Amino acid sequence: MLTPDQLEYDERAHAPHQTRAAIFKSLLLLIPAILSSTTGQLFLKMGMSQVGDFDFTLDAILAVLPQVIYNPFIWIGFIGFVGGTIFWLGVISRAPLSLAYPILALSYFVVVLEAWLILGEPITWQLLVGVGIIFVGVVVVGLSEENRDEVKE
Amino acid sequence: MNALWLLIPAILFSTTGELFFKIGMNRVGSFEFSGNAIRAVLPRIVLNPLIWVGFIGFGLGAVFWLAVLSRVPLSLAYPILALSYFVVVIEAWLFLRERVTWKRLLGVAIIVVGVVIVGMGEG
Repeated sequence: MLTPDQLEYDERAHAPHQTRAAIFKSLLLLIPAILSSTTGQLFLKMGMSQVGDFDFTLDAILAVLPQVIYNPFIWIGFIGFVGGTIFWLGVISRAPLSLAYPILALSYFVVVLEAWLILGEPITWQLLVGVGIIFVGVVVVGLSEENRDEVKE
Repeated sequence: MNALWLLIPAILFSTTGELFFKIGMNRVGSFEFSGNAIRAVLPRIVLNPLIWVGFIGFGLGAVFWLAVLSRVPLSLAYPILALSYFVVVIEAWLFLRERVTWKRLLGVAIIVVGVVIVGMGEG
């Protein structure tokens, strides 16, 4: 087990000091961050289903752009993304990036769930297995944040 | 030239955008998640050039990603994009000097396997 004085690098030199309890508390903000951005994704999908598919040429994009911009679902989708970003910035203002970013992969679970519940898209065994493995990885990453609070100073 | 090579700039731009977000937020500092605190801190976030660089990174990454998608099936490209999880952690270790243990890398590897399995089911 490493102690702080054995560290070659110290992220605290760059980030303000946070106790592990404060870091884990900030990780709770990942819940609204993920819910907000995945729900935004869902609304973008519903909006684009209304707009319909388009070719990726300049003419086609210019033709479809007004429909995209005036679609209320698209607007709700963007609001979801902005909200998700604010919560995410709140998370990384405290938590190390190498801890918080991998946990964002829980978004896959939420997207699969929302697509199934709301859009009626099928859930396959492959999706369930993949999401289960992601959960295991997230737990391992979470456990990798060691408690150094009692040895500081 | 195989279009999959475009995944390299796609991943590098978006992960570096994430890195700049983190550097920007280290400068801004941590804030309480209450309405007043957010209102107070929001101008400092919005006016922070590092945060803007982060957004530009995301934008450029998205352009390359769309270019990949226009040439390669999603079920092939998406699992490869999962490498971003490794790249972010390595960048945080290299540039932010965050402490990255073997346990953390193991967790990221497990997550990448899960994302690859989810991604292969797409398209």
